[in-house]
Amino acid sequence: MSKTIRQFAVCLTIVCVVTGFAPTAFAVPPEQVFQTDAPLNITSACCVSFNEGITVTEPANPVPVVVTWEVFVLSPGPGNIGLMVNGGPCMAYGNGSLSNVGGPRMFQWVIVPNDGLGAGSNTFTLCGGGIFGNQFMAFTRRTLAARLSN
Amino acid sequence: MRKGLEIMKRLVIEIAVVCIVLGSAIAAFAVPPSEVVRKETNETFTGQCCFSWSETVTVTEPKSLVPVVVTFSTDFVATGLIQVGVAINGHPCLNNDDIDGSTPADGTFNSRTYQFILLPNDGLMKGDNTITLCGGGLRTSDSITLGFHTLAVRISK
Repeated sequence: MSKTIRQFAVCLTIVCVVTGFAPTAFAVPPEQVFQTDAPLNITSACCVSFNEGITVTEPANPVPVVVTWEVFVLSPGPGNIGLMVNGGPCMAYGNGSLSNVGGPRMFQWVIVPNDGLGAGSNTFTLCGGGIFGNQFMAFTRRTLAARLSN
Repeated sequence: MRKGLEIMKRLVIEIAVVCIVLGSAIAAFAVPPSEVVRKETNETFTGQCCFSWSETVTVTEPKSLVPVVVTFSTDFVATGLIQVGVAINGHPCLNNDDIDGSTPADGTFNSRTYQFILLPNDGLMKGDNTITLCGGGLRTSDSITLGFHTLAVRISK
């Protein structure tokens, strides 16, 4: 009898420990977000890497990722902004135009498994450049964040 | 000895069940493909507000309805002041916001992001709900061309 109770207690403990870790699993991992106030100046035609990015961890069956870039644009272009998925080419996964008006801007990109997502670690790197050739673009405060879940 | 093995076997099975349940829970929270739309072609809409712009996402509400957050992010050029909103389950266009019609002289696109918060009172129902982008101009001749754009909905579960 006491053995059965002990066994039950062990199982219950394991369930509690695993369940206790569940909310942690749903928390936003630090590598999935990026924030800085440092100036970012780019002078180039489209497209070059901005050398700023985030990493997301996909499950065994990759799911869509929604990436948001919020930025204060000091000198806007005209230029295009996009993302490099796992070091691939600079692509538009949604809007990406930087017309000749500065100010706060937000871009939302949707990356689906067919875009080259794989199980495990995936990198998203900001990229872009001038539409009509070499272009100076300047940014200040910005955040880059990804979400894989509701 | 034999009893010990049996206990161990049962423990392993119970842990496996817990892991499967937890794994399923994580999958259940993943962004469903029906909750996001990405378009990589230009689409032009001409006319007075408000009519459907076709882009639709679907979100599944639980028994106790909860708010949803819809984010629309787009490149665009427009010939006048354009309004944009969303229609829930085919109902009239809600939450109209203004898209400034100024178009860059160099022929490039503008870019804007709009966020709409839909409450249960707005017409959400238990189960599947369609959320469709809608809008239009102040005049019948007003038009907007959407460049690359995304529409995504988020619900608290």
